[in-house]
Amino acid sequence: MIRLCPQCSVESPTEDRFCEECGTRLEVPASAPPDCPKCGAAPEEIDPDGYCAACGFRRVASKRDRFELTVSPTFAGLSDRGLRHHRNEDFLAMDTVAEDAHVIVVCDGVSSTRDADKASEAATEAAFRSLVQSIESGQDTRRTALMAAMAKASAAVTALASAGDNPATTIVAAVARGAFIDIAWLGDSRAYWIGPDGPARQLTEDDAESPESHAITKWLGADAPEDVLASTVRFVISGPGHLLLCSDGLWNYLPDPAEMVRAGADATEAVRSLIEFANNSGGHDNITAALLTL
Amino acid sequence: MTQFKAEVFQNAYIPQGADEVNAIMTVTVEGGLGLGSSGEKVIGIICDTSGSMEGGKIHAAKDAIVRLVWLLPADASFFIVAGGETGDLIFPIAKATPESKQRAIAAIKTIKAIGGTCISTWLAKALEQFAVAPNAIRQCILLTDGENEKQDEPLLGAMLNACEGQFQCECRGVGSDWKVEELRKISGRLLGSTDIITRPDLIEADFREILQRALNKEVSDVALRLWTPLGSRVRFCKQVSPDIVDLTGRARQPKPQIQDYPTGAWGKAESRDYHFCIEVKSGEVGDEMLAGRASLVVTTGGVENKVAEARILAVWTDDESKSTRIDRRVAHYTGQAELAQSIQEGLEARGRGDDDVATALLGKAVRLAHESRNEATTKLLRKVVEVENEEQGTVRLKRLVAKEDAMALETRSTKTSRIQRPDTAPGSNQE
Repeated sequence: MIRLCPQCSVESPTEDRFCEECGTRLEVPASAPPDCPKCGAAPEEIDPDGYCAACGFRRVASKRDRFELTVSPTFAGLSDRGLRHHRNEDFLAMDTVAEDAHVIVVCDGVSSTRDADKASEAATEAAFRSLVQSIESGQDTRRTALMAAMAKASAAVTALASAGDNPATTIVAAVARGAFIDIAWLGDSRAYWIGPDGPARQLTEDDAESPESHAITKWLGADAPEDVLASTVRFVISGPGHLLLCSDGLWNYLPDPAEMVRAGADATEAVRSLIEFANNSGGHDNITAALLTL
Repeated sequence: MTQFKAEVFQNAYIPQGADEVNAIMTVTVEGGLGLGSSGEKVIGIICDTSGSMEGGKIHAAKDAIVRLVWLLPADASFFIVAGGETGDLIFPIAKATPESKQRAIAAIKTIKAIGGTCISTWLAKALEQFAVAPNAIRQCILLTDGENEKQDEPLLGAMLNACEGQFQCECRGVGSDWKVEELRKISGRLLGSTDIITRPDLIEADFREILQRALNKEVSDVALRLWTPLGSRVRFCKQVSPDIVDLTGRARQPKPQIQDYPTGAWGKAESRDYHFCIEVKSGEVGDEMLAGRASLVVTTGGVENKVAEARILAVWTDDESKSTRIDRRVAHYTGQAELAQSIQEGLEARGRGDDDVATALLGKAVRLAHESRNEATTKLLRKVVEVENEEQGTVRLKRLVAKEDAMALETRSTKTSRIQRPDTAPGSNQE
């Protein structure tokens, strides 16, 4: 099977995800949904809520449970439920805007709150939309744009609060453009820089009592201390390398992701192998990784 | 349209390795008129007229039936069977017009108490009469005072097979010479209840109540349909309120993975609870399973109509704070089933003179009835045992117990209390 690139009309084999000629992302065809992963029953046996009419098990891979975003061969992310949690409370958004500005947001819902999944999604969406808007309208003054995005995300999560439940989430957001990467965060979701050799360099500092405790000291949510400001950092790009944003579901198992990131054939392959590694190590938490190769 | 509402109460979270899912389903009839029935009602009356009824009992029974006939609304149909060694159809099925009521009453007057007790022949006559109106709501009352003849036993078993699903039957034993087990076998198969009428003069009030409930029925032939996943097994399916009826062995299987349990006819505002216990294939932590889908199916003229549906889920978790919680309704009805069992086994032990076992079991029953605020059962227990401490269940067996009191406790041991809701008064027994 062959199909045409929508950009340059060059033919590519269907299994290719990018046009060999111009690098345009080829629309992934709507592939048939998978059979029931538990008993192998045909896709038509699976009801709209995901339950298999034969074995009763719910198909694990619901849209939110595992989703992959591929912007280009050098820019991709993956968020996964892991093995132990019954839903994915991480969220992820990323894109390249205004031609050369790469925007990434990763959030990890605090699972002691009931609507942790909604919190991470709302924060990600609000921060991401705010950053894209700032950049597209040309007010891209980095730190200001990031702080505005954090305020939007905070408002979005606070709005979810109800009697007895204050949904909360961590957040890490990055804008890479030109020679700089600007990052803002609250909590223990991280950003790393991975150069051509040596260990990965952690660009963020966890807002946590200690790396082992997992008790975060800053977060987004109605019950967050009012005067808490997001931390920010600016990284100057001095050579080729990779920017990695991830939730603690990854770094718990892989404190130094450098080797695995460099081994990936492209960004999609690299994030897939990172998530696979975390799952093979126990998959105790939700896992999210977003990778940009510069 | 009769509206059914089905709600499931459960804790879906179970630990790794667990393969049992428990859920209570509450089914309530809400609103309106007759889906699934022609609106037609047939009331069958079967009265034991064997020799043992001679005297006060047959007089009271005849009076009660006459009153019952007067109470019938003109749009209902009825028939009367006098039961002895053979069933005698003394009044064949007819609409309850004033004229036919007069004829029926004349026929009742001719009843004489004579001969033996062969219940299979009585039911055979009733079955023929109900066959005339297959779409009607078909309710029968059977009154007896004695044991069925031994030689009728195999015939009765076969007759119950024939009658199952054809009509419902309320069984009443008057006095204390009848066998609870025997009537319960009939009422169980024919989706009715068994109860004791301790004195003949109470027959009329009891009949009135049965008739009221029968006339209140709007929908007949309702089945509880349970879908379960491949590789699973229904450990039990029980009605648990207003009384305990084990339906596990009663299922029809129209297709693989589907069981239909009979629930009979339903009346206005009626509410019942069911307990499902399903054994499933164990999942991994994080897995979620549809362990059952329960619905109500009304069949009208051969057409099935699904009227309400609820889901039973299983979610495997390693979070013990989630998996160790037991849903309070599941806990309550598990306790009520244990209560009924303690009473039945306790009375059995008492019957064979095993006082130690009887004291222990009836004491446990007193404690369980107290804990679940089943005051009706507590009252019945107090007629059989001297209670020293309700909370701890310490009791002494009473030496002198009226046979009727022991039988009342036995027949009503399956009546359950409903779980206490903040908005209901404590201690109300069912409905």
